[in-house]
Amino acid sequence: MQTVKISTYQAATLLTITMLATSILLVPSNVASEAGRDAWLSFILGTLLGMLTALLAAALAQKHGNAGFHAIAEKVMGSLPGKLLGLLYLAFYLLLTASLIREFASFMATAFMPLTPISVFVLLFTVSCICTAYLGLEVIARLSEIVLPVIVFFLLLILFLQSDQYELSALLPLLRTPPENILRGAFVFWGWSGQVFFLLLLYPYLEKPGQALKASLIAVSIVGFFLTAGAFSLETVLQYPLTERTVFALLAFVRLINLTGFLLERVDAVVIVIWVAGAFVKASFMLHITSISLAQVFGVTESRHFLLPLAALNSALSIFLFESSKELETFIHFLWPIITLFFLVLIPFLLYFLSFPASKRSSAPGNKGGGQQ
Amino acid sequence: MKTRLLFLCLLTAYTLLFTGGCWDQGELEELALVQAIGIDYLPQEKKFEVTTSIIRPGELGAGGMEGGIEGDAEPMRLITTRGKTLSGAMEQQNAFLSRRAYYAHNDVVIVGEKLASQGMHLILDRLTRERDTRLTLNVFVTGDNVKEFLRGGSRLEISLPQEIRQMKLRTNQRSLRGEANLLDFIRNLLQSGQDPYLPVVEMREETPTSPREAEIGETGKDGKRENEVNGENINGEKEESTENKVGYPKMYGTAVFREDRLAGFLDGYETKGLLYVEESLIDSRETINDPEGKPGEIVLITIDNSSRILTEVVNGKPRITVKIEEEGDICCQTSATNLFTPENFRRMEQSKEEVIKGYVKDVLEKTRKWETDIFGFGNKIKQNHPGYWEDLEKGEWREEIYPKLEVEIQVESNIRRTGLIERPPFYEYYQ
Amino acid sequence: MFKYIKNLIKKTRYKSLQYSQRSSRQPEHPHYPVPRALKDKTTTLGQIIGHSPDVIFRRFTLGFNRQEALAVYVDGLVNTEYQNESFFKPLMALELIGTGKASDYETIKNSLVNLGEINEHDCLWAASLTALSGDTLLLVEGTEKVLSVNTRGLPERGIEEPKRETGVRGPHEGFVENFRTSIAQLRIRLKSPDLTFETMRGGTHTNTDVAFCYMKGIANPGIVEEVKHRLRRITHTDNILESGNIEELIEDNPHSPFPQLEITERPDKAVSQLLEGRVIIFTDTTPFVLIAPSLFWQFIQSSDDYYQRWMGSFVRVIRIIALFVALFLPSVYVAISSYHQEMLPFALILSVASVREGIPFPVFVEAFLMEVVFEFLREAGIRLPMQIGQAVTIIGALLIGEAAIMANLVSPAMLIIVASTGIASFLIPAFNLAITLRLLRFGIIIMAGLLGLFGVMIAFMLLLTHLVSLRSFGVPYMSPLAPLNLRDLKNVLIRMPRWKEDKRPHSSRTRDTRRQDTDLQPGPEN
Repeated sequence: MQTVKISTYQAATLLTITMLATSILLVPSNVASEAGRDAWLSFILGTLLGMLTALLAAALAQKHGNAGFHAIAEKVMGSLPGKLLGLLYLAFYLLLTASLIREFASFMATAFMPLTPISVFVLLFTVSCICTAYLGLEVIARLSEIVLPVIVFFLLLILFLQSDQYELSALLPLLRTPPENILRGAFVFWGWSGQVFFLLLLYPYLEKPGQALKASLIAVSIVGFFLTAGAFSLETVLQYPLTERTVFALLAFVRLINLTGFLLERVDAVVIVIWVAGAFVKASFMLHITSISLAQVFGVTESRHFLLPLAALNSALSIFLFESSKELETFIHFLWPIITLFFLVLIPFLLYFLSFPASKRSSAPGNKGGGQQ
Repeated sequence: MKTRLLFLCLLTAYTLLFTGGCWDQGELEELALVQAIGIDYLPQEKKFEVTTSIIRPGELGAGGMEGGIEGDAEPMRLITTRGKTLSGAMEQQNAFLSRRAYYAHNDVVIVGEKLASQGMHLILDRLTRERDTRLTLNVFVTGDNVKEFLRGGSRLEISLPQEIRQMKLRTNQRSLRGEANLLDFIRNLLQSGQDPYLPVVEMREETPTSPREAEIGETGKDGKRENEVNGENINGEKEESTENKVGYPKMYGTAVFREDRLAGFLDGYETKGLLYVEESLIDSRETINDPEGKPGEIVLITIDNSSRILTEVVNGKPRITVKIEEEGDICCQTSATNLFTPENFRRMEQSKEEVIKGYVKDVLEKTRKWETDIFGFGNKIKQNHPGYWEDLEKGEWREEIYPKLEVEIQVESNIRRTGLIERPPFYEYYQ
Repeated sequence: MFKYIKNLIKKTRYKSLQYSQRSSRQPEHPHYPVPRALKDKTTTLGQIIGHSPDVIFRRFTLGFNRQEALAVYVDGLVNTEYQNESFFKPLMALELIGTGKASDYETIKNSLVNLGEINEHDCLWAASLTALSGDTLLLVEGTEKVLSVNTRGLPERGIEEPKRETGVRGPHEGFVENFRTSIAQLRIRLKSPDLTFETMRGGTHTNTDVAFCYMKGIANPGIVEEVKHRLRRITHTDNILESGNIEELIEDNPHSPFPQLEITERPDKAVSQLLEGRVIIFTDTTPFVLIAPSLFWQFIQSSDDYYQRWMGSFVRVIRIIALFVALFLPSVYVAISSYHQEMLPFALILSVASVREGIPFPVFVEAFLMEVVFEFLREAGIRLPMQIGQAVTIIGALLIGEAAIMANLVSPAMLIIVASTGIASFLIPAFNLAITLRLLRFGIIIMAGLLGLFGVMIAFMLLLTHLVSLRSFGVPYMSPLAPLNLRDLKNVLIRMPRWKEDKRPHSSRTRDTRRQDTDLQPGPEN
């Protein structure tokens, strides 16, 4: 069981789903409300920011001989401060997972089953996810391998089915949004594309750690492509002022598909497939990550015992953390990017900075890692 | 590990059984499937009047198969309620129903003239917020009484709502009526520099004894057409019998809005002008005079059309050039002219160009009077000259610039094919 | 919760303990040394085998030295013609042949018995077992050995077309119950010295012969070793009546609903699996052989796919669609028509609504009932003799279906759904997978009835999780889809042309990866 190894491709699919699963539905309207007609540019910028995050994560790991994040933290900061930082990160994972579960439940309730209490979705979803998290990283990675092509297929199908509706002139006038708004939009998307940071936690399990950077860059590009293409389609079909008014822009987009002659209308089920499959893998992955990090921080070997309590905690948090869907939306829009910036960029950067003197003492692995890039 | 997995599965089953409780469960037969909604506004009472046309599925297909009764029972039921808001009025419906009124499969919304002139904002939010309506909803404006309208019968489809829906969605022939659904309406409404429009439906009353009778079509002549408003002059020609009239729907013309308020109606021929600019014309036929001036007419079909709106701002004054390119065939000739000379072809093309130009000019004239920019010239200016647009004040475009806007219309017609014959069969007799 | 965690820890420990114990334990046989005197031998053997009516103790005098001898055999298991001609006749009639210093026993063994397969035993227990499989035992005075001569002539069914795996093209012959004949059928098709057999006996009482074979140069030794290791379990049970008994004892995840070992009756299929580096397990008394390791996709492939031209790809795609239909169609119908009516296409809503009119049950109950009735019909059709079975199916399907619709108990739409689901599940070539799908279908219908499409999706994800976590003899069950192997995958979802298949599947980690030359693509020669 110690020799869990995942391939580069699996790491890429896992990271792609982590970033794509929830962003594709929620983020476009948030970004559109910042960047308006030029949302697609925000997404491109956000993708670039995500790539920078990936670079930072890879550099940090390679400096420390492909260790995982928590091991690095303990190595750089010393045992106790490292563990304290680990605890902080655990809170971050919890927040991420809880908000993910809430997003999931809130979407299901808003769009498909308004009368069902939100706790039903939360509980069932979490319990199902711990079943998967239980079976370990290998199973989650394999699951992501199957699920990602399904998601990609359906996304492409959606984009294709609406292709006769595209009205390119709706993108005009180009670049009339103030640059700071575009940047703010990019920042909102970064809250997701920055999650490529989880690469750092995958490092110890990679078959070929040298290809990790490649995998993460591919993952960010895939996500960037779909979000940019999505924003592009939304701008040309729904068109600008409408894109920011919808809560779930992708759902609004799919609800427009109307090829009556081919019975291809009312294909909302596609959104359920994309959304449940993606969120399922992501939540399982997050639960697994949280449990192994918890085990690492407390020096326990068997991480799976933590899963059930974690699931309980996550379900409770996701229900009680947010009063209404508006609160959740505000959280995603305004607070989440700042949290992301702090946890996924500032602290890793600080660690990277701190690890310079350490790397001088044992420069061999660092240089070797750098050479592999 | 496996037993643990089993345990987890049991846990899932447990959670499922005790938390899953079918809140949203409901059978199809517990739903009253609304097929059309008619909405009007009563200005005196400040209330909405909502009429829903609900289908009784039992009266359809399957019933016929079993009992062999030829669907004598009327499959549609109408319910009219009133309320202070649209949503409120819709809730009232449930008081009259044994099943929950279900709007998700409703594709037809008929908006009364009074509501439309009051402002579409009164209903737009309800039609977009709740999950049971889609943006692909077909919204129509009618000048008739909405309640009376929905009482009408259908010629070819099983019910009036179906008939209207099929009329609207038909993809092989589109002319004479505006092409817009709810999404188009909202998009045009939200876009500054553009005003929305909707197709118009109206009721043509006929005696039930002759339901198969075809309506007498309007002929246009020479580009100058007999302008008929709400089918008045046609009704005059028809034999009238006052008792037991049954109405049949007719989709004809366009309702033009100024922002979200109804500004006026375009008739079918003016609508063609709009459609030529919007590129959404399919299988339209234009009648022109004989190129050599002989008695009789030529009818030309438009197969393919495309248009471009070019903008320029010269000395702070915007100028619009509308370029329409279309091509088509000859589909009918009543004159005895040999059309197959290069000159005659050119002449025919020119007169078709004039006809089309006339359509567009008429729309322009009317919309200038109403101060509503349904072509979206303002939007084009905004897209191509954002700097100029941003300097304009609110409402300046619509009220001051558009009515005096310099618009040049260029039409290029091409006649490609002649149909199956060349000279008409009677050619020799009338030489 | 704490109790749960404690239990988990306890179970892990307990399990590892069990494993170590099992591997150290060896199967035990009682040992009966062969006494020198013939009289003692007869008595002991009599004690072991007992005096059943079919066990024949034949005393006779050896022709060449006029000594007493005893032949023991089981009536009905031996071919009496051979036995008389090659065993009794030379022993009784021949005066003396040859001269030599060899003992009487050696003379008998080497010169007198003119049958091919003879074995020596120094344990009467082991010797009696061979007698029970059709050998004739020869006991003579003055030696501590027992000679068992293969005179087997077992009652045997002729070679017939396999009932479960009929194909349009390909050999019309299937394995038979007698595993020696089956092995011969395999040999005919695979004349390669690489083909290696290992035999063992399963069941302490049935003493069933079990043999597994593999291609020495192709199969991964690790997998072979794993098969061998697991097969040890069968010696600890008292009976092995069918390969299904073995399957249950050696599969990876006994709780999984999915079959982890493929079964086949077709020798040609067995050969192709051997050449893909897999291990075939023969069991005496059953025509079904096991294939290990087996992947999920193997269960929806049939050997026919490979005998048709590459058009077999089309059938394969159809089967994959059928797989999804068989699993999800009723539940998706239930979910959409009772939770997400807004997703019914406009063209369907009126027809579905009009046929639902007046049906007393909710869609969920309707679907469940109809599926149960359908299962009744199918099971009745299988168990009854063929002629009656067909009649039952036709009566059931036509009468019940028609009557239920006339009585407005079931909507025609539901009948269409159930029927197409049933037909789709018939498209799955492997019977054991089809059963699994039928079972899972009920689970998914329940999920759909409780939570709509959300339930269906959750069920699907859990199913997928389970599938990717499964392994068959160490090979991930869902490979080559997960973990992904593109080269193998194109041979799974479709079937590549023969000349393109130049590599053995990666999933069985074969020693020899090359199957054929890479330049076999035909075309007009230049």
